[in-house]
Parts: sequence; structure tokens; C-alpha cells
Amino acid sequence: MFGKVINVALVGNPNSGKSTLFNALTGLNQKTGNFPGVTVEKHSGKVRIFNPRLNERQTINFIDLPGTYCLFPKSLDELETFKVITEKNNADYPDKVIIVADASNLKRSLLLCLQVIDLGIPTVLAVNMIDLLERSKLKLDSVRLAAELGVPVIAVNARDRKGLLELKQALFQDQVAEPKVFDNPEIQYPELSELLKKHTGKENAYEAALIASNYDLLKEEKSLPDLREVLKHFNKTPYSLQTEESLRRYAMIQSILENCLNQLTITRALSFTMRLDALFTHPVWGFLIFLSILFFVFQAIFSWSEVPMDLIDSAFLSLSENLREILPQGALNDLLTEGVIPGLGGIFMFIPQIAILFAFIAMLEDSGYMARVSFIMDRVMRKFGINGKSVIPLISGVACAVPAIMSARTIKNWKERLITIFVTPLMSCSARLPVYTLLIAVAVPNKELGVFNLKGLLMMGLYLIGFLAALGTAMFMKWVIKSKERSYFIMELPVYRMPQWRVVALTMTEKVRVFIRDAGKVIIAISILLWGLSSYGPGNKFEELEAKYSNPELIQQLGESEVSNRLSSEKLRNSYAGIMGKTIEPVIAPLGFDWKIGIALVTSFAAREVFVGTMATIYGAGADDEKGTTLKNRMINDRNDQTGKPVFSLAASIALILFYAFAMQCMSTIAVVYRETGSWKWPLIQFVYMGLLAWFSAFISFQLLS
Amino acid sequence: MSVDLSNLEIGKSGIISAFTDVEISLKLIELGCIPGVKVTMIRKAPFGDPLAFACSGALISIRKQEASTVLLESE
Repeated sequence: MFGKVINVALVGNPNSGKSTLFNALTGLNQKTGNFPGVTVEKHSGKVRIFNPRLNERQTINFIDLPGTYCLFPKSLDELETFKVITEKNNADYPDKVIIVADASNLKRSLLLCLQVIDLGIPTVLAVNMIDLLERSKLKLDSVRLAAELGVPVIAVNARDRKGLLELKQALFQDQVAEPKVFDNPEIQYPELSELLKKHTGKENAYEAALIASNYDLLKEEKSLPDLREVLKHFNKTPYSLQTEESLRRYAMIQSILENCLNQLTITRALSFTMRLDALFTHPVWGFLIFLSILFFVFQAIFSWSEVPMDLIDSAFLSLSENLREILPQGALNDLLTEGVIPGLGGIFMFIPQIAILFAFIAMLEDSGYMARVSFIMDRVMRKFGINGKSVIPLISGVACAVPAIMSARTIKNWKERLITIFVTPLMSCSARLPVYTLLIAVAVPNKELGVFNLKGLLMMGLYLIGFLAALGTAMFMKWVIKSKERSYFIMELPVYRMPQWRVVALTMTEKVRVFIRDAGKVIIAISILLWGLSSYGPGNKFEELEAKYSNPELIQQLGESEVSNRLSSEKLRNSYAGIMGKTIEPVIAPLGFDWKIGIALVTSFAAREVFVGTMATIYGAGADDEKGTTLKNRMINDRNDQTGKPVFSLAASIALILFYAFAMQCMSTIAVVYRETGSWKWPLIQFVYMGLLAWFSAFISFQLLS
Repeated sequence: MSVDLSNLEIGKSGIISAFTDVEISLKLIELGCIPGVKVTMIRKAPFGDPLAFACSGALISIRKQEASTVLLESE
């Protein structure tokens, strides 16, 4: 055992507090939430724990798995858990399993617990939220329960980190010599069991039976023989195996619990939850409250963040000004002070908004409210070919489409899940914020309409447009895609809980960290590349331009600053970046975009927020005399070199905003859609569809407005 | 008169007697809603669908059509 890493998987029902326990055990920033299916992917964290029996510290690799009610997976997140604990060659195959049970619903947790024990994996049962049990005057005889189950039973309270030490020590206990078997296929149906063992190549009879029970889900992947046919000879089907097994287990659980609990009729403290539900799911109040919460969140995002955003903005501005003085004049100076730093500043400015957005989403998830939103929206959502559960991906899509698309795994129905994945990137994500903010600032005057600010209204409108586009697209897809698969809406509505502020804070910092890291990397790389592309051009065109503009007569005639202005703008046009922009100009000219915007469209292909950095680089490189003025003013003052009209006219700006609202300019989203749908077909269709939608809406709005 | 879960009035309870749909029954069984267990209708979502019922201390949502496959015997 020396130095060996022990794999310990946390397995439990959704909302049993698995992820909270995982956080408490590992101290990692694992996101938890009070919505079934928040952990849609497995997470792991290593900790070194002192093992008194070996008198040394041992490394334990805790693995947090998506919640499941039993080992008959019905959605992709449940399948993930199933695979880890049934496939011995899986990298995460656990040496031990901690079953995390919700103390107030032990019966259901024990179903999963007995199944895992029967698989022969050493198990520890952690009875979580023991405080709820005590509050409802229930007493659990955990010693008796441990004896009945043949595994250690530890009462814990993950939220206040109670019982963790005992739980960790229980992991070092050896498994009892003769582990109990609760539902043995060899006894229930000996002849069939032998056949199943032979056909599946499994030694453990229960493992073989599980494969047969989940035959429909596993047949392709495992290239199994036709087990349905085998079962048929015994008058059984995969379904009947599942049903019969579950019912036998529930009967056993009933008698086990009769011995271990002082009363069996668990009247959980639902009254508080019910009173809140009367309000939150009310036909009128429910929707009004939902809308007010959304409104409040947006209001908070924009008003609370104003001061910190200005601070960050001016900090970056003074940083680049100071650096310009300190560093020697030259290429590096320009690159840093006109490309990289303004580019980073343009993005880091949005940290306050992103932090507030993710904090609210974490709070709503952790409190249990999100499940109610699904509940009241299901009927409406069904009309659009999606499910009440789709509301969660759609709302989190406002923060970022990548985790949002992953959270669609809890939707069992393939068609509903696909539509949800397809339309989620249309929701206005946080990467669009910098683009919108800059363009609105450039195009729209600061005007008050009654109590509302015009810019604020426009911003709200953009979120609404994204949402309507998502719904419209969903409706269209509902009609196009044919599927016979049935859709379900059977799910648990968790009890309301106070959000855990630690979790909210962790989620917030984690998201901001990832945002800074990912956006920062891309922006620095693209800034450097773009700066290079815009500072150099093919042939000796640059030298010719230098010669042309160094003519003393011309300088005399136009003045020094005008000449240097013209020189830099001609240089940009003849640079590699300029040529790039010029090449795509014919495609975007009908939208009112010039070649400079063309450059930005090319560079923000991989990530839309790069737009701001690109603008900073282009306008930094294009106007030497205006150092120190903000990007916004440089953009407002820019004129088209042919027509002399403003580049960012109202019509062109609105068209550009709409283009960014609809186009799929996000590599990460394309990658996650590929991963979640398993082929390039859907990301490709999505990319083309969103591209066309973007082009045509920009085209129509530009033609109408100009 | 045979009653199913979809026409159980709010506040009323019944005992699950049988399921008429295998797939739906599997999902309900794993949530602990098995024949012989008492269910209580708690509320209906706006427009009367989906429904929320209590079963062994848990609150579970279900669409009306799905609920009609759960047969009850009155208490």
C-alpha cells in the first residue's frame, strides 16, 4: 500500500450534498448547486490524509460524480457515473465508494447504496444533512444500520464540515471479510444468471445482470450479443429486470430501516418549501417574480459594476501612458502600449460584470429556485420543442454558453437536448458585453428617456433579441427535426436552502479566474499577431510610402500631423492586416462595414471579445497624434477614406451589434458542441446558420437605417 | 371509480396501485414512488401542467400526461 493513491468516488442522489461534501473534503473549487444535475461532469481532487493504521500519510483521489438515483442510467450525466463505477478498466474506477445519502430520504439513497455494495466495491455510507433529521425528531441508529449493511455508516453534515474526520478514517478501514450481497441474481434467476455471465464475460453475477438491465443503452458501445433474445426465453426484458430488482430492494430497505429509524413515516419539513412554492410557482406571481429577479440581476450587473469598471479602465489607461514614457521608443513600446495593454484593459474592465452575473446564477442555483423556474416554464417551453429544464442552460447562457451547453446533459430526450444546445449560443453571453458596450458608447448618445437611460434600454433590448432568436430557432427546429423519442419531466423539486456564500464566492472567483486566463491568453496572442500584421506589408510598399510622405513640400502644405496621420493610415491599408480586411470587404460592404471592421471580424472569429482589443490595436496604429484619447473617441472620429463619412455611423454600428449578437464567433462553443453532440455535423450547421442569421440581420438593419 | 395521479385534486392523497407505462414507471420507481406508497398532490404549475406531488417526503414534478399513467387506489 506504500505510496499508493486510493481512488474514492462520491456517489449519491442529486441534491444529496455530494459536491458540498467533495468541497469540504478536498477544499477544491468544485461548483455545487441546489438543482438536480449541477455536476454534469466528474471532478477530482487529491488530498493527503494521515492513515493511523499505517502511521503515514496517504494520497486519496476524491472523484465527484454526477448525481444518480440508481444504476439504471437514463441521461448522459447518469451514464457517466454508471461507467466509472462499473468499468474496471476505467481510469477513475474507485477503490472505495462513498455513498452520500440525504438523511431525510434514506430509503431512496439506500437503493443506490445496496446496488453499489452488490457490485463488490468497498463502500462507506455517509448520511448527510443529519441536522435535518434531528430537527424532525428522527433518530437513526447508525451502528445498527452499519451492521445491517455490512459497511461503515458515518453521520456527517457537509455544510458545517461535521463528521469529516470520522468519514476520512472510515476510508482506511478494511472491508469486512464476507461482504453482504443483497440481491443476488444467482438466487433470483440462477439459470438466466449463468447465461448472462457467459454472454457478458463478467464474473460478478450482479455486474452481468446490470449489463442486461441496461442493454439498450450499452449494446452498441460494448458490441454485446443479443441479450434481449436471451432474456425473452425467460419471459423477461431489460425493463422488467430493472423493475423487479428495484422492488425487491425497496422491500429489503423497508425492513432494514424499520430496525434503524424510530419512525418510518418521514414527514420532512416541507412546509417552508411549500409556502415559498405557493408564491414562486403561482400563475401570476410566479412569472412576475421570475421577471423581476431577471430584471434585478441585469440592473445589478450594470449599475453595481459602473464604478469598478471605470477604475479598471483608467488604471489600464494610465498604465499604458506611464509605460510609454518609461520604455524606450520603438516597436516594443508601441506593441505594449497600443496593442496588448489596451486590449487587456478592454476585457478586464468586464470582470466586475462577470463576477456579479456568475454570483447571481450561483445563488439562484444553490437556493433551489432554478428548479422552480423549470417547473413554471415547462408548459411554455414545450411549445418551442424544448423542456422546462432547458431554461437553466438558456439562463446560464447569459453568462457563458460553454458550461450552459454542458448543463443540457440532464435533459434525457435527444431532440430537446439538441435544440437546447443549438439555441443556447444565441443567448447574449458575457463575451458580447465588451463589444456591445463599446459599440453602444460609440453610436448612441447619452440620453435619458423618462427614468430610463437610452443606452441601458438598448442593452436590455439586445438580451431580449438573443432570447427571442433562441426561441424562434427552437420552434423552427422542433418542426424540422423528427424524433419518436418521448420527453419527460419527472424530477425532484429540492427543498429551498439558504445559498452557501462560500460556494457563491468560490464559483465567482473561479469563473473570473478562467475568464482572465482564457481571454487574456487569446488577447495577448492576437494583439501581437495583429500588431505584426498591421505593422508590416508585402513588397516595398512601406518604403515607398515613407518616401512619398517625407517630401518637404507636402509637409509644408498639409502640416506635420496631417501628413503623419495620412502616412499611418495608408500604411495600415497596405499592411497584411489591411489586405486581409480588404479581401473580405466585398462581403461585408453591404452591411456598412469597412475594411478595418473586416480586420476585427477576422480576428474575433475565435472569440468575440477580441473585437475590443483589435479596435484598440488598429486605432492605436492608425492615429499617432491622438495618444491618450480613449478608444471610443478615436472610433467616433474615424472617417471612411473614400466617402469621408463616419465609419461608425448609427446604421453601421447597429448592424455590427446585430452581427455580433447572432454570429457564432466562439471556438470554445464550437468545441463543446462537437463534444456534446459527438459529431461535426451540428457545430457546422450551427456555425453556418448563425453566420447567415448574423449577415442578413446586419444587412437588413443597415439598409433600413441608412 | 379508478383514479389516476393526473386527476388527483390538490391536497388529496392516494396509494399507488399500478403503472400503465413501463418507461415512466422506471423513472418513478427510482424516485421511490412504488406501488403501495402514498402520494399527495401539492400543486399545479401555471396553466395546470406540470404537477407537483409529494411522495416519501420528496417533492416531485410530473407532466399531466405522465401522471395519467399512474393508477391510484383511494386511501
